[in-house]
Amino acid sequence: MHIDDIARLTTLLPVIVYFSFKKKGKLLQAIVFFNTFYLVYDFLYYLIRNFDKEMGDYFNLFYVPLEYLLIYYFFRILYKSKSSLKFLNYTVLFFLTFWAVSSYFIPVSTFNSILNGLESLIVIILTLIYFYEEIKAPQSLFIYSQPQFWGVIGFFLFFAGSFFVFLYKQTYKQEELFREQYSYIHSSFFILRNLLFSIALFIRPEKVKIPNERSSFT
Amino acid sequence: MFFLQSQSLQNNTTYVVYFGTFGMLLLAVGLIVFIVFHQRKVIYYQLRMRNMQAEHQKMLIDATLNSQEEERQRIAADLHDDAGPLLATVRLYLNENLIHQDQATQLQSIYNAKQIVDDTIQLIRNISHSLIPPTLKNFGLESAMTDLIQKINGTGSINGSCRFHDYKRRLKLEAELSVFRVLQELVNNILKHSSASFLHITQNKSESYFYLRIHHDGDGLTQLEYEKMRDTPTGLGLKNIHSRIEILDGKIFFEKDSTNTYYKVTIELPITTLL
Repeated sequence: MHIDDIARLTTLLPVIVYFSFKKKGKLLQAIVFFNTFYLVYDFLYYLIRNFDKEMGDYFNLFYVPLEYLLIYYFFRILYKSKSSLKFLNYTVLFFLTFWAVSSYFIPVSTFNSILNGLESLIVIILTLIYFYEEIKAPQSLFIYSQPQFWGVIGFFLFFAGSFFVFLYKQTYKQEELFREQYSYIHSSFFILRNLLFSIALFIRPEKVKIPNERSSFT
Repeated sequence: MFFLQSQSLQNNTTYVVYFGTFGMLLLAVGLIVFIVFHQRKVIYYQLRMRNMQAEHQKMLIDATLNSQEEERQRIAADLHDDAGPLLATVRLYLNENLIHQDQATQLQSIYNAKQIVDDTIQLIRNISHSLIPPTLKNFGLESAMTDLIQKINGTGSINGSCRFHDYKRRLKLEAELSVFRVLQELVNNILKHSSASFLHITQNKSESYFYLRIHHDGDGLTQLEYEKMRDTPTGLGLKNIHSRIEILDGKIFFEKDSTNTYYKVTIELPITTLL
């Protein structure tokens, strides 16, 4: 079995964990929704591509913006401050505009490295904003005892790790050596992401909150 | 040659991809580790700050309670040591009236008793005035401070003055009493410790704040010294000042003039403390 197939199979892991433990929360649902979307999209792409290659390419064109919309949904639930949410909304507008423009110029059969690189960069920035919010107003005594932390670092490590292979894929897609490299690196981080998502869905959130109220002298 | 060049280019790409990915991963993991430890540090710092604040507030409450207790003890001592013997003497004179039936002695005895009752009334009035000065209650802070300064000037040891620039709207009664006590304590400290030759009290108002300032030319305190002394177990008076000002949501600043000629104490209160 090739590492790509193992990576694909691990997408099921968070979904299985979610339905086994049946934990509530919009954020956990967003993670499961994200993985389910990947499974369904991958399956449909496989079917369409077998039927008509060009149609498959057109279908694949919508994968990145839809994936980004789901990431946007995840961070939208996560963010607390208004300025972060405002920034998040701007990124969606910017990213979708960029996707529309670049899709017009780049042939559908070609992998869009700039778009994928941009998506990675935006997700990295969104993660940094989350960390900043956590430092500024901590929600819990131990950040790693919160499911959202594992969800965020799942995205963070996946996009940080895949950033370079995404950038080079458009140019070196045809090279056998690069394809192998891409496969190993991308799949490894894909597996890591799904494992981290599974931890997010498995972990029991810490109940002890930090006392927030300032006692007043009256 | 072309093949070799192409292979070298491919090797370079391989290195860039591997090192780039490894670098990004290292950065990401480093950042996560940093965040985890830093966030914990921030939380411990915040908790420590909160504990310190709570301790500080407890100390202020203790100081307030102690001063109340001291005040009660003083009143109790005044009543016991002064009013008690006076009333006992009146009782003796009245008893004498029951024994001596001779009218002249009775009249003398009643006269003496009346004198002592008058003294007792004066004594009780003094005790009551020390609790809340009647001038303050009836005419406000400006009059009470002018009264205080006049009394101080009467001693001849210091030259005092008091000027309220904008006091058409009075402070609320409780705030007025608190501010009066603070000013009284500050003036008392200046008289006791500073060897000042002049003392000047001024009042001012801005759109959102009410200010009271004391200038004097003796040895005063700077903000740092005030905070240091306030937090020592002996600085009860300064603790009281701090707690009274804090209750009013105000601030107090101790400054030294840049020319080193005088010290300045500023009390800043929010405008909401006015009636």
